[in-house]
Order: sequence, then C-alpha cells, then structure tokens
Amino acid sequence: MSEHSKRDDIEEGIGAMSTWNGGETRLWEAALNQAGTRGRFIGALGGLKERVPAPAVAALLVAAVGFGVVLGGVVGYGGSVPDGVLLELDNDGLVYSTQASTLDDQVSFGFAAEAFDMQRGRDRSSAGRQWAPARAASGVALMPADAMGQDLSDDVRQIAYSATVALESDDVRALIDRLRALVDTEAGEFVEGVSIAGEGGDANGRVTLRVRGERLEDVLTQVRALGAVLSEEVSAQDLTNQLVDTGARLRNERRVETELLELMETHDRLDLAGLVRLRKELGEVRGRIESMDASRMNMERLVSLASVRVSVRGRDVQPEMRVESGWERFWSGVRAYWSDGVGRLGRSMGGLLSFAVGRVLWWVPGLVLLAVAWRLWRRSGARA
Amino acid sequence: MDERSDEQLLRAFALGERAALGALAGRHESAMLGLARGLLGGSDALACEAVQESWVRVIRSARGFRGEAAVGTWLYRIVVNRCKDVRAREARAERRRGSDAQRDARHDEGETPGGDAGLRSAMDRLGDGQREVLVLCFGRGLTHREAAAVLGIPEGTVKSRSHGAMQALRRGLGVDGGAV
Repeated sequence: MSEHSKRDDIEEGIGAMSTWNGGETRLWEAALNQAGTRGRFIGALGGLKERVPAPAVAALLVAAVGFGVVLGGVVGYGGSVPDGVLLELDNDGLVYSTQASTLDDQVSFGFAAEAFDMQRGRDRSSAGRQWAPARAASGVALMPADAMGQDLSDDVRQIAYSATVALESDDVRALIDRLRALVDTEAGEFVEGVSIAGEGGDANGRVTLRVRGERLEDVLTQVRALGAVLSEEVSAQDLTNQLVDTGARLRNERRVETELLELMETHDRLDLAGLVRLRKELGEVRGRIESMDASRMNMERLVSLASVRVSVRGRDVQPEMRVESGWERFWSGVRAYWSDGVGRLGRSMGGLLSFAVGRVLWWVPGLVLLAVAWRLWRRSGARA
Repeated sequence: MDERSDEQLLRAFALGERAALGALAGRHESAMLGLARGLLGGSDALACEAVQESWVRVIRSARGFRGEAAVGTWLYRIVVNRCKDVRAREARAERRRGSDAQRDARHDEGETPGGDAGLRSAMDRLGDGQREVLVLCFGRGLTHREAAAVLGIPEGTVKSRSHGAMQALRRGLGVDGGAV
C-alpha cells in the first residue's frame, strides 16, 4: 500500500470515526431537563459571570478568605483555653473566669489575650520613669473572676517591679552605706546583698535593696540624689495570672486533701491496701500543696517587695576603652548584622509558622471554599 | 423549518423560547455528536454523554453568548471541552477499575461496525491538542482557520499540530516514510 493511499485511509478512518450514524437523539431535551433540575444555582452564577467582571469575583473570594483568617484570629486562638467563662468585655480585653493550668493557656485567648499580652509586654519593657503609670492604669483589665474575694485583691494587678541604677561617686563606700540606710527594716524591707571592691575613687560596688512596691518611686528618687546617674532601668512583670493559677490549684488540692482526710476517717471500711494507697495519695497531695504554697509565697514576696539593684563606680575608674582597627570594626559590624538578621529571620519564620498552624482550622475550609467557588465559576459559563 | 439564523435562535432561546433550542439542535446536534464521537474514540455512548453535557452548558450560557464567534464554532468549542472532561473522567474511572478490558468492552458496546481499532488506538495515544486538530480538520472537514477559531489557537499552531499528529499516527500504524 502506498504512502498516499495509507494517508487517505487514515483520513477516511478519522472521517468515519467522526460521523454520527445513530439517528436522531434529541439530547437537547434531556439537557433541558437536566439543567432545569440541577443547575438553577449554577445557572444563576452563569448569568452573574456575564455581569460581574472576574477580577471583582476574585477580589470577593480573597476578601472572604481574608475575613475567615481574621475571624480565625479571633476565634482560632481560643481552642486551648480550658474551662474559660466569658464574663465581660472592656477596652483592654476580656474579663474572664478561668482555671487555666498555665499562663500560656490564658494568653492564647484571642484578641483579649493579645491585648493583655501587649499590656504585659509594655509593663515588662517599660523603662525609665514610664513605669509608674503602668500600675495605675492596670485597673481590672484582666482580673480573673476566680480570684475575686480570694487570695488576691480585687482590682490591682500583681506586678513585680525591679529597678537597676548605675551611679558614679567619689566615695563608693560612703554611698553604699547611704544606700543601705534607705531600707525601712521595720516595714519588712531589707538589703538583699552588698559587694564592694577597691578603695576610694577606684572602688566599685553593688547593692541590692528590697523595698515595698509603693515606696519604689521614693527610693529611686533618693538613690538618684546620692550620685551621678549613669544609667537607669525599671521593669515590671505581671504575676497576676501565675498567682491566680497557683491559688486556684492550691484551693483545688486542699479540697482534695480534705476529701482524702474524710475518707481516712472511714478507714474501718477500707482494707489495708486501700489505706496504704490513700496515705500515699494524701502525701503526694500535701507535697504539691507545699510546693505551690512556697511558689505563691515567693511570687507574693516579689510583688510586695520591689528589687532595686544599684551599682556604684568610683570616679577614677575608667571604663575599659579599646580602639578597634578598621577591619575589626568591619567584622564586628558584619557579625552584629548577621546575628541580628538571623534573629529576625527566626522570629519571622516563627511568626509565619504560628500564623499558618494557629489558623489552620480557618485556612483549610477557606481554601476548600475557594476551590469549590472557582470550580463552580468555571463551570458556570461555556469554556471558551 | 425555522429560517432564523443560529444567533437569532440562540437569542430566542435565551429569552425563553424553548423550541428555538430544538431548532438549533436540529441543525447542529448531529455534527456535535460526530465531533464528540471522533474525539472519544468512536464511542457512541460517550459521545451522547458529552453532547448532552454540552447542551446543558449551552442552556446555562445562552444568555451570555456575545456573538464573538459563530454559533456553530461556539458549539464545537463547547463539545471539544466537554469531551476533554469526559476523557479525563473516563481515565480516572479506568484507573480505579485498573482494567483495560472494561474500556475495550465499553468502546465496543457503542461502536459503529467497521471502526478501525488500530486507528482508534493510535488516536488514543495522541495528545488532546493533536487529536482535536485531526478530528476537526479531517473528521469534520473544517479548514485550518475554522479549526483555529474553535480551539482558540493560531492557525499556524493548527497546521503544525496537524502535521505532527499525522506523523504520529503513521508511526503508530506502522507506516514508514517522511512527511505526510
């Protein structure tokens, strides 16, 4: 068979394959029924497609997904809050009652927790003389109802303040003596530590004072007056939630202890093995109570007594000066920028990961909806 | 016999005249079935399925037809795309079944006697683009320009695909030689 005749055969074969010999089919009628029963919604979409430009639809879809993500930010974070009961909203966040087992559990409560976290961060990072309003403004932004009327005061955050001041003086020893005299021992304040090295103008020393929180500003004012202030930093840490958490767990353990003791009283109905188990359990509960009690007392001490660390340097002590060469400056700059860059990269990746994982419950349905909407959209008009 | 043009019939249907679609189908359904049959390896059953789905698409999109192409071209384009869907669906189903025997049985079921199994097999192995060009040009007798309009591709692409497809077919059918 020649090449041309084979070619003709191929064309004929294709022609035969592409010819309809099945008679009248009236498929259009079946299609009318199918479209009438199945496609009203999609038909409406088809009509929409002609009137609404595709970019507008795409923008709407993106907005919808974005809304879902934002909504996820509000609600998605709340998954890990155990036993939280919303009581009231205020400008700072949510006032809620909770028995969350850790501070992090409470912090994971949506915008309220973020607001709280920001507030807490502001408190922690507040420096210089800006610390004072933080406490005054704290109010009841996040006063856990669980603590109300219990171990904590009703309307004040439990904040541990600490201050660090660097002074310069001609007479280091005399200045340290004056610093030690600032504490009011009768009110429970004390000198936590003193160290001095050197003599006269070459000496340097360090003193740590524990003073009542409400006196901190006064004490700092007096400290500043004793010498030339080289630097000063005040920070605050909000321990409200740790205290509330510890208090709640403490009360719970005490209830368990009481119940175990009541069980012990019915020991005549217990066998020996049961009695031993009961004693063991009671011992463990009491161990936990003591540990939590100590922890709470420590936090309360931190809250009640602010820490003031003062370092004093004699005027004759020259700070170590070292002149770097050009290359050393260059490499130290490179190292600093590298370190800073790596740190920022890590934080960014962490943030992205947190965003992606924390809102996965909203991403997944959002993407599914997007895919379905896109498919419906494509199906709604003739593919051209 | 309705003497209105295809565009007028489509517009009338879009305005609610159901019979207009019947008139349009009377003119084009057979050609659509032929095209679908060629694209779907000569299977009558699959061709009917594809054309019915094409009519559904026409019904839903009639209101949006802007007349940028002839109605016939538009219908062919819809059929070509529906056939792609049907082929993809069938391929998925076959993968699930994992059996070529069923595919052959189904093909045989709706096949017109006299169908060339070798040609069908060689056509099956072509890419969608090449198969479409062959069926439109040699199966339905469209010019390269008309096929290009249906497929929405340049006329030169139609020519090159046609050339490549014929070469592939000849190789597949065991025909030696150079250009077609």
